[in-house]
Amino acid sequence: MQREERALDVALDVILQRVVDIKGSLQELLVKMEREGEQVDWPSYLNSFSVISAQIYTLMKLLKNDKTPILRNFLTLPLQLNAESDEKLLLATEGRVPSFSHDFVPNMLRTKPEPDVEQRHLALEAKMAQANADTALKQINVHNKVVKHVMDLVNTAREEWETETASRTNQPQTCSVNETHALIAALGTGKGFKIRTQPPGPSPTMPQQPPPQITTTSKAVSAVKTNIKAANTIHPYNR
Amino acid sequence: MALPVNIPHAGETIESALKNQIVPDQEFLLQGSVLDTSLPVVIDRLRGLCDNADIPPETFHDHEVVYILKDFNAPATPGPAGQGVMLRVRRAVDHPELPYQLRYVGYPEIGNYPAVLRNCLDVPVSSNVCEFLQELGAKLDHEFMAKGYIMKKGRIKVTIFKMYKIGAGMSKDNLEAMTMSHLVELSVLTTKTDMTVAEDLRNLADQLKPLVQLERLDYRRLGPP
Repeated sequence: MQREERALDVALDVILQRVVDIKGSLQELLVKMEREGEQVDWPSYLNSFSVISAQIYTLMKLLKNDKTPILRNFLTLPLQLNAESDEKLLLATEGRVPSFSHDFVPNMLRTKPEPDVEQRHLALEAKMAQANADTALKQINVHNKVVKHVMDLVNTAREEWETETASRTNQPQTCSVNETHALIAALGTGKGFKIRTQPPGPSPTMPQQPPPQITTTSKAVSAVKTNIKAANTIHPYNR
Repeated sequence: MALPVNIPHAGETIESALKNQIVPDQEFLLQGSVLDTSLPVVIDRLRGLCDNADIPPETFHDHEVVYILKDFNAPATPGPAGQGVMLRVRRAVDHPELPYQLRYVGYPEIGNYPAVLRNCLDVPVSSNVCEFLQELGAKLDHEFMAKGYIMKKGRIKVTIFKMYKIGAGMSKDNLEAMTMSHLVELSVLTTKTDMTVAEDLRNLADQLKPLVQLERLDYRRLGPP
């Protein structure tokens, strides 16, 4: 018996911790939305969402764990109510529940739905009891048919999407390392742009006539072009 | 009677700024490339990541001429000293009214930085700068055309451009492309004392994976020039 109690305590502690984590992440997200709104990076929103979904996943995994006792088998029985405000309770609930009184306890320890929800539920049950068995069966069949159709639609959409993502991962490359290196070398050293490659050793007399009247760059460029032609005639094998 | 007002000389101000290392003359740079076929995807993604996502990205079409300034009569020596100083003159082909840009880019700093860190100076100049450089003794080394897009995200400058060769028999409309890729560059200007901005650069680069692999690449280590 004692061992079970201890297991329950441990499990509750862990669950509580997970819930506090989720609450913290949700608060962070809310603060982010209020403070920065649409100004914030979308990737940062995505990060928050993935953090929260991972936390919910771990919580669900914890609840389904074999070692976690099944919580619905345990009862919470209020033994004593107290109208006076309790500071510890206030602290533990972050200011939401000031006292363990008649106003709060029925809501806090409630395991059934809200009264008006319960009433609507009862009304629906009554309506169900009135319905004819044949019509009910017919309606169920129609409903199943519709659901099956929707399922088919979703499944085909998923298949399409999966083949698309698969083809996307198979998509070869969007960039090439060799080209990157070629481009960076060209930008840094002019490799590939230099049309007048000089052979090592004593350089032959390159046509160095400074163009007589350069006033603007566009003219300087045209002068360069004549230089290139001249160089090409001298070294036809150098590109 | 003259009041003892101490007006600092402009030179002193610059000197003290240099001494305190608050001149934004350092550039962090990450480079990568993207094949032309995937360019629209990268542009779309960058538009989503960068500022002003609601308007199409600004395009540019520049002509860059690179000059080398060194003692051309000295015997060739290996190392940076023998290679002289590269001075890059850029003009916007599509905006002739804009001033030319003279740019000096230093060698990448050695050390464990998150991106290429190098000295970088940009000066707007008048259109006769080429003549001036040639009078100084600089020699034309090479030239090319760059066409592409420019975007920004905060302080980060993002450029995606294709480089074209310029040579005989090539008109402005018929240029020979360097490769089948566009070069992608992320850069940010900073001071010697502010290194935190490099992290923003890395984060942006990570968002572009695996479309573009933006890396810290030193062109001097990519094989002999």
